[in-house]
Amino acid sequence: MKGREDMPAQVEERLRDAFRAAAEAITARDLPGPPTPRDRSWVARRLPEWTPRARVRAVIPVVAAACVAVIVVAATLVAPRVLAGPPGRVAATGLAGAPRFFAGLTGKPQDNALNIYRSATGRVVASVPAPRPDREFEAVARLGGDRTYVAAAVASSRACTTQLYRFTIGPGGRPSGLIPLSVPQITGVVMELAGSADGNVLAYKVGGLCAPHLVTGVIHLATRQITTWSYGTGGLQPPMDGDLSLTADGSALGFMAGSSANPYGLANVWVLPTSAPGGPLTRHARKVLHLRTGVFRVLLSNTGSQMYVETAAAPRGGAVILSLYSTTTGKRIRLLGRIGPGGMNRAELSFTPDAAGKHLLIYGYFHPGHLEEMNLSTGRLIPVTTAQPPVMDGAQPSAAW
Amino acid sequence: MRKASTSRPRGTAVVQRAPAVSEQLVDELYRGHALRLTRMALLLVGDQPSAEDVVQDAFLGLFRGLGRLNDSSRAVAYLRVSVLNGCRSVLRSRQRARLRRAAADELPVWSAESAALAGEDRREVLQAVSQLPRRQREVLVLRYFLGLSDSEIAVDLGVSRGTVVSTASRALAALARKVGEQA
Repeated sequence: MKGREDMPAQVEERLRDAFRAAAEAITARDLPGPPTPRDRSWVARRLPEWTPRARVRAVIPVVAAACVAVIVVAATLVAPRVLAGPPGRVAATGLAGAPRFFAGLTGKPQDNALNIYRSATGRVVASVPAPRPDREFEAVARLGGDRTYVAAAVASSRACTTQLYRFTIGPGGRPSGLIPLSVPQITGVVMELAGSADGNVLAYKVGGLCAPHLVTGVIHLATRQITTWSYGTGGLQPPMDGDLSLTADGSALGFMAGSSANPYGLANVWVLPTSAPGGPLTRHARKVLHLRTGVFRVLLSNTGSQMYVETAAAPRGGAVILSLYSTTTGKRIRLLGRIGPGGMNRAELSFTPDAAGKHLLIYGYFHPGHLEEMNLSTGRLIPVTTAQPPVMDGAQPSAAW
Repeated sequence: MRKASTSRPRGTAVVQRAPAVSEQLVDELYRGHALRLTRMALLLVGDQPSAEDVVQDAFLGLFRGLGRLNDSSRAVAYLRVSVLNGCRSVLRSRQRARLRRAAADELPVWSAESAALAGEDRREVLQAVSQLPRRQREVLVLRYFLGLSDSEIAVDLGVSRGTVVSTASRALAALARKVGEQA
């Protein structure tokens, strides 16, 4: 056996040099901040408080349940995949050029925090605490292209008002503190929030028990001017609207609207100039798309000439697909890809674009482990394998990339 | 006698056993050692997001393990072993994922970004290292990146010093063959 003295120094030197060069790809600036106990799950936070014996007793049923869950998951998910062969997608560590982090709401009241996730792994790297313990977060959106975000949080439950806050995510994933936006408080619970890529315009939708009906609003941040529109006034099957998105300059607002009685989702997509006077939502809007399949989600492109539309593959269901449509002709330009299995549960997926409008982060409430990144130019889809999936809030969009 | 490529960080005596201040101590340890450990993890797993996650998890584990450390100077060694274990978990996960995929869909050992930064000659070396067995890779990284002594590596890996020497010897010989050198 050779000793280390016998090894050629040249190989050792090349090895040191290669290690050093490769390692320097990471700089101190890239690193997220130090973890805090808050980054641990609630289970991990509580276990150390128990005695070892109590821990063991408590963990036994949990472990048993976990074993059953693993068997069920293996039977329902893994086995069909193995039998069906490779899915034809390449797993990787994130799309080149895509944002490294995204902000998301967990929808767990006990957390009451807005999480910062690493896009490539789905791991929570930091949390933004609510402005006060009684002020829950309602929605989050990206505002502009410089990693600035806006979060909506309850300002007063009694008065039913919402305050908007601005925060940024640093290069290492560390968020800044919340800074209240200098705009009037919004009446009602904010159910959706969208920001323009130039950072000048915000769109929101409010509803909830304390709001008489759904209201969509646009805030021009430079002038603090707010314009609101409403769609429908209730009833057994009230008209619905939502899925707000803005062009990069904030001049146009895209949304879906239709009857909630349609079992396949809302069928109509509209575009409204944000300079239009307030009033009925569709009075000054232009209907740009009507699909018999229904529309699960829609996203206006940065220029407004195209839109990304999530639908079922067929009028009565099928896989969930993402297509690119023209807002001028209403015709489909091309199919971007199949993003979900679909099924009886209308397993639609939410998505959030990056500021450049080049990538899409896809996530789903019904598939909490389902996290994917899509290159919108090529349709390339990268699944993100995560042991700690973000659990988003119901059917409402609740992440911002 | 080999020379360490970079100096080994010291100053681990700041670690105390008081749980009440553990967050501050973990913070200090993080600022002193996170970059080096993340770079080590990068060399073992090949991509930055996974490396950062492994190191974050290791420091989170420190919150739980700090009170049990009877020798405060062992905190850095504890972190190093945690990172090694975390890297093994990542690689095992990839191996499982690889089994479910076609050969053409195999996961990249090195991200395109890392490989591009390294350059052609270094990429050849890194590629050769990535093809070595796991323990050989670990020994090489601990010895030639972290600059640990064979005795320290033996403690970290839970093997004898002789095993470390022979493993390193085999790894270097294999590496020399792969990159065209004479061992």
